[in-house]
Formats: sequence, C-alpha cells, structure tokens
Amino acid sequence: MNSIKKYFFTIISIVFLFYSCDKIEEPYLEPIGSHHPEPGEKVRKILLEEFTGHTCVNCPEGSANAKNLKTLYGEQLILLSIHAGTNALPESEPFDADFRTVTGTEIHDHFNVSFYPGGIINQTKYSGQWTLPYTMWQEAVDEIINLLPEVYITIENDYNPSNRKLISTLTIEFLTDMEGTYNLCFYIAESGIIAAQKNDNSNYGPVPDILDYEHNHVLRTSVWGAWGTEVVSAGISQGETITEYPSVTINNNWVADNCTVIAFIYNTETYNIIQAEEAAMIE
Amino acid sequence: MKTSPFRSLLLIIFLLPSTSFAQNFLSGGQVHGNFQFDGAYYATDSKLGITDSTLDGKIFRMNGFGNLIYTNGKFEAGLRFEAYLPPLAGFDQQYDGVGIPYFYIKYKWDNLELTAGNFYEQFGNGIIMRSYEEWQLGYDNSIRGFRAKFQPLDGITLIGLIGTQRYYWEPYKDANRGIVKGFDAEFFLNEMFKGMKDSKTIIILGGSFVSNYEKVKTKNITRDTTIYQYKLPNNVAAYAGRMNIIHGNFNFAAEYAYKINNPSAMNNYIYKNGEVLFTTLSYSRKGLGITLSGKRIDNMSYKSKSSELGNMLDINYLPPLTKQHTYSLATLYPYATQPNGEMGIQGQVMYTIPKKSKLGGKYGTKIELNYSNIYSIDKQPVAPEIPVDSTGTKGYKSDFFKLGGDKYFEDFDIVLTKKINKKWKVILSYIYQVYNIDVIEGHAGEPKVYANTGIADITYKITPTKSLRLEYQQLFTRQDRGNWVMGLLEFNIAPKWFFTVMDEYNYGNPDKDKQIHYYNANFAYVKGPTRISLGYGKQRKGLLCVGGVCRPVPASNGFTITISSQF
Repeated sequence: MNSIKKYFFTIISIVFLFYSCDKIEEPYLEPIGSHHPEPGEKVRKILLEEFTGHTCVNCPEGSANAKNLKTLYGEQLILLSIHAGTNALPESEPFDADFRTVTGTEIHDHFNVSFYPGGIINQTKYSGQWTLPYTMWQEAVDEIINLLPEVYITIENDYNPSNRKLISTLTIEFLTDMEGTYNLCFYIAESGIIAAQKNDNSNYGPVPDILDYEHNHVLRTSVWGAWGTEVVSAGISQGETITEYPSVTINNNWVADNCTVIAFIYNTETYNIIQAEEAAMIE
Repeated sequence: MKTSPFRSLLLIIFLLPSTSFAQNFLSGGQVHGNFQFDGAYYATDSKLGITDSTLDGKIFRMNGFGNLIYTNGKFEAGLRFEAYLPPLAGFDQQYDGVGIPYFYIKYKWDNLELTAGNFYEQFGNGIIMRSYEEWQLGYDNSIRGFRAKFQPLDGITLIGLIGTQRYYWEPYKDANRGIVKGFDAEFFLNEMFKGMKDSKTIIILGGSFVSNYEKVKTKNITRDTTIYQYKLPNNVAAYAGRMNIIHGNFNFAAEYAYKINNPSAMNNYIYKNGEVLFTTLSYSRKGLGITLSGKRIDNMSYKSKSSELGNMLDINYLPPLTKQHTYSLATLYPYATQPNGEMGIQGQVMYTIPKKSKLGGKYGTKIELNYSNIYSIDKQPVAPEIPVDSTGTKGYKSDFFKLGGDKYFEDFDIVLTKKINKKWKVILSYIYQVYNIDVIEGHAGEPKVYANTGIADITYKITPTKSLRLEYQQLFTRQDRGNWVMGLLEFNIAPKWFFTVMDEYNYGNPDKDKQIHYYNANFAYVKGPTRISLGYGKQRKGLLCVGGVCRPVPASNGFTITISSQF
C-alpha cells in the first residue's frame, strides 16, 4: 500500500508537470484601434487572390473574412476574387453567370487549388502551402505585411468613355538592389456585380441561395496574360525606375465606374509577389 | 524527400541511453514489413463532369507506402516510406510528394518502454488523445517526439508523451503548429489489490491529461470601425476520467472529458469549454450480444493548430455511435461525427438462433439489429442580443441533458445470415436511414434524406474451391439523387482468383442526364501474403467514412491497380 501511495504522488506530480492551460477571462476581444499607413507612405502592399465560385457554399463566409481583413489593413491589402474550378461553372438559372477567365483558370491550375474558398497571399507559400483556408489568411498576411518594401508601384489611369479604352501608366520604382528576373502583371477587376451565390451560413445571407449577392473584386481580364510581361531580366539597381503603358478596351458588360486596375510585380523563379498596387479605373 | 529523416534517426540513436547498444545489434535481429501500391489511370467522362481540364494532365496517380520494422530482442526500429505521385483523386493534394514521414526506435526494459521518433497512441476511448493512421482516408496524425510507458507495479500503467503531429510533409518549425503533451494512468484494481484478485467483479480506472502548446498568431476582427484582437490561449488543456466494470456477462464503460476554452477555426473562435460523455453497457453470452451506448459531444474539436480546418492535426478522436456499413449502397449516406456538438444513442443486438431449432435450421441463423439516433445539442444564446455561436463570445449555453432540435442521423438495420445447406448461404439486410445532408455534407438548405435499402447477398458454392456470389441492392429515396439499384456477381476460385462485375445505377436521379450506370469489373490474384487487383469502371461521388471521420470521394472513371504484400 505504501508503494501505491508513493506512485500516486509521483503520478500527481507528473500531471502537474504536463498540465498547463491558459484560462481566458471575458472580454475575449480587446480593442486595438487601427494601423493604416499614412497617405503616400511607401509600404508593402499585399495581394490576396481568393479562389471562389458561385456554387461554393462556404465562399460568402470566405469573402466576408477577406472584407474584414481589408477593413483591417486598408490600402495595404488588395483583394482579387478569382472564379475558377468546378464551383465557378455556369449552371441553370439563377447560377448561369460565368465569371471565369482564361487568366483566372491559368492561375488556379498552376497553383493546384483544391478547395474553396482558398486564398493565396502574395503568391507566397505559408506553412508550406500555396493555397490557404480563410482561417489562415490573416496570419499569412501578418507574416509579410511589415517587411520593408523593395519596390513601389504607382498607377495613373486614363479612361476614355467614348471608346471604353483604358491606358494606364505604371511606374515601378526600385527601392533596393534586386537580383533575378521579375514580371509585371496588370489585371482588371470589377466590383458590385449582383448575381446569385450559394451559401450555407445564415450569418452571411439567406440559405441556401443568395439571389442578389454582391460579387466584388472579380477578376475580369489581364493585359499581359496571367504571368505578365518581363520588366527585369537580370537584376536591377536601387533607384532605377521602369515605366509601362498597358492599354485595354473595357467590355461593354462591365461597369467602368466599378472597375479597378491591379498591378503587381513578382519573381519569376519563386512566383512570390514583391509589390502590388490597386487604383480605381475612373478617379 | 521532404524531410531529412535519416539525419533525425541518427540523432535519436545517439541520444538513446548507451544500454540499448549493449547487445549485439545484428545477431538475432528480424526484419518485417509490408507495402501497398494503389494506382489509378483516369479517363475523361463528360457525364461525370470529368474533362481534360479537371484532370489537368494528371491522368495517372498513385498512393503507396512501405513499412520496414527491425526487431532484436527488446529493441525495435522502423520506418514508413510513402509516395503520392500525385495523390489519387479525393485525397488531399498537399500529400503530393515522396518521403519518410514515420520513423522510430523503441526499447523495452522490464517495466519501462521508451520510444523516440514517431508513434501512435490512444488514451482510453481517444476522446482527448488518439493518434492513428487510416490509409483509406489519407489520415495520419502520428506524433513525432518521445513516449514512455511505465508499469511501476502490477496493475498500474503510466504513459507520458510529448511531440508534434504530422502535417502532410511540412516539418515542424517556427511554431507552425502546437506541441502536444499527454499523460495517462490506468489502474487495474484486481491486479493492484490482493483482496480483489479473485473477485468476480473486474474494475479498471483511468485518467488522462493532455495539453497543447501553440504559439498562436494574432487574430483580429473589425466591428463597425473598431479593430479588436482576440485574446487567444497559447496552452489548451483537456482531461478525462474513465471506468470499466465487468461483472459476469455484463460490461459497463464510461468516460468523461473536459476541455478548457479553445477558440479555433473549427468552432468559429468561441470560448466555451468542451465536454464529452461516452458510455456503453453490454451483455454477452453464447449466441447473444447486446450493446447500448450513449454519448454527448459539446464543442470538442481539439487540434494542435487553432486555425486548422478539416481532418489534419486532430489531437483527439470522437468515436461514432453508428454502424460502419460495408455494402455499397448502404455506404451512400455515412455519418460524419460532428465535433461541435451532437448527442446520440446506439443499440445493437446480435442473436444466433440455435442450430437444429425450428427457426435455426441445421446451421443456426444469425440476426443482427442495430439502431442509432444522433441529434444536435441544445444551444441557447449567452445573452439575448448575441446570436448562438457568435465569434469572440462564449458561444452558447447548453443544457447537458437536453437534445437540440435538429436530427443529424438515424439508422435502423436488421441483418439475417442463414446458411441453408452446404451449397447455399444467404445474407438479407434492410436499412432505414435519415441523413441530414445539410449538416453532414454541407449541402445548405437541402432537405433531409430518408432512405430505405434492401440487400440480398447470396453465395453458391459450386465446388469446395469455386463459388459464385450475387449481391442485389436497392435504395429508395425521394431526396438527393433519388433511387439506386446495384447488382454484383463475383466468381471465386479459392484461394487465388476473384472476378467481380458490378453496376450501380442511379435510375431515380431527378436530373435525367445524371441517371448514370456506374459499372465496374475487377479481378484479384492472391498468392500467400501478396494480392494484386485490377479494375476498370466508374466511381460515384460521395463521402468515404471510417470511424466517423470522412473524406469526399469525387466521381472518377478509369483503371485501378492495387498491389499489396508483407514479409
């Protein structure tokens, strides 16, 4: 019996050794204010490519999460909704819209996106994965958002409503010496598109169908294709500037007032985006 | 190779106490192992929605593994090689790659066993700790670290462990997931106390403690214009107590577990504690077995990474109270355990009508009855203005003994097994299921499925080595994809050859274009421990569940090959 007692106390000691827990008391949420950059401040801007589709029941929740992050990070986070894969296939009414694009499908297939909503943050792997569930988007953004920018992009748009032609001026300023090859991409996105969306969470709208869902940041087209045009072939020095003038005719079905242009520059070997920028097509 | 396991293995070997090398390392050693290769060649099928685009050029895929175990007296070492080139359709594509995700060394002294490397472990029913591997599901949450098992006295078993869980091929680094610590003690009272040695009542008690340390990342939310930060715990602990009392033909087992606040992606970041109660009472004697079980799960997803969704990084396992069906149409609506809350019961009776009785006939007749019923749990708002399950709150209040209003699953089935004579054997089944497709498969707003299934499985023995088996299955439902019929013919030349042709026909699908025949032809060759099987046909989409854990299976069309063996 004595030895049993001895071991009993040993066991209790081991339990205390292993047992650790953090009891959280209310309130569980703590206000922390905002940390948006000052206007004109050269900071790193992050692109969140959200892979979605109108028959993806979890996607309204994913998009709400993306919107929440946009409020949190302001101009430092750029959202792009890419409708691709089986969830984006047009079906019978009211799901007959087709938001797929050649560019979007190419990106989707390249990164082997296998679940929705899936997000790729700056085309950079996080925790070993390209595509992340929306629950991991914030931590992946947090990982890189405070890194000093290596490049800064400015966009000036000149849109002619009579022929619906857009000519943009992209200025890429290199803030540090860079090695490697870099491509520049230029995409058009549209917001405020009202169309049906499946949904399984009543916190985000009617279940199972939201007939008047507002689709935002929807990728519409690209000027130089999914992978852009080469702007740096073998490194570049700090202080150098490159200017490009992409032009595109805006489809008659797109609302020009709701369109934005998104430009980003990435390393062609790693696909990692080093800087992104977004501007309204019509200022 | 995704990791550098050999380097790690060498490190572990050198860290082991020198006593493990006292014996001659090579003499008397034995090597065992097994391997399996599952390959599939996929073809397009417009009716199934499989196009060149969805195949993406990956027309041949494979999953494979090989286990190698070396034992020498009290010493054991092993490893498992795995390859997914690329993973079969329906398996998580993050497995894409080749490597050695599992390796270990183990040494056993008289009453102490130490393991360094990877291991699988389960405390009690697993409700706060179970690491295991299920090849069919692509599920593996093995722990890499250290484990000690100690038996200080007769009847006392202590287990302590620490490690990190497998996450596809991703090595543990930069706190990318939690560190799991666990301790379990089991007391077999009849062995501990002399006075109980000859008792007709056997009592086993147990208790476990598990804690996960995760350096949680900052998580914020905006409400109106204010940004809030979640106060997230870095250490989440759970404990459980269990008892098992056996008296005569009766066996009673119960386990209760409690988990402290664990806001996570799985529970929408609510701060409520988690609980599980699992009880079973069974009675068995020759020819009769009765089991009654009940369980209540409340907010009990427990993962070593709080932002993880899906099946990976589960620390615990929540046993299902539903029957694991094997006939194909009976598996159309399998139940997936709902870790955020469910309450259910299960009753099972197995009775063999004795041989030579009026109903039993010459060989006896076996009857199996099973009934399961699973509901949601009661959830009430924590405050009138806060909806249930609101993130950043306690989530909900719940009356422990009250059912929620939503039925998740119901299954009544009866199976009759009758050997008529030396030539004929018949198995007849009837299954009634209610399936909440909204909750289980996430088909939002779709009505519950009410399915009635009848199955006849008839075997005719042509000669002592040759037999013919016929399966006829019919499923009736007005919901989901409507009615199905299935027929299978199997010709066996024991013990080496098996030939099967089958067809599942979804003739009741409301969409006429989807009234598809899913035909298959397979043959298998078995020699000793080696089995080779080849198949061609179509696979319907659905869920594959093992033990309440499920993975989606996409529709497919093409050839399959499986080779397995052991040595």
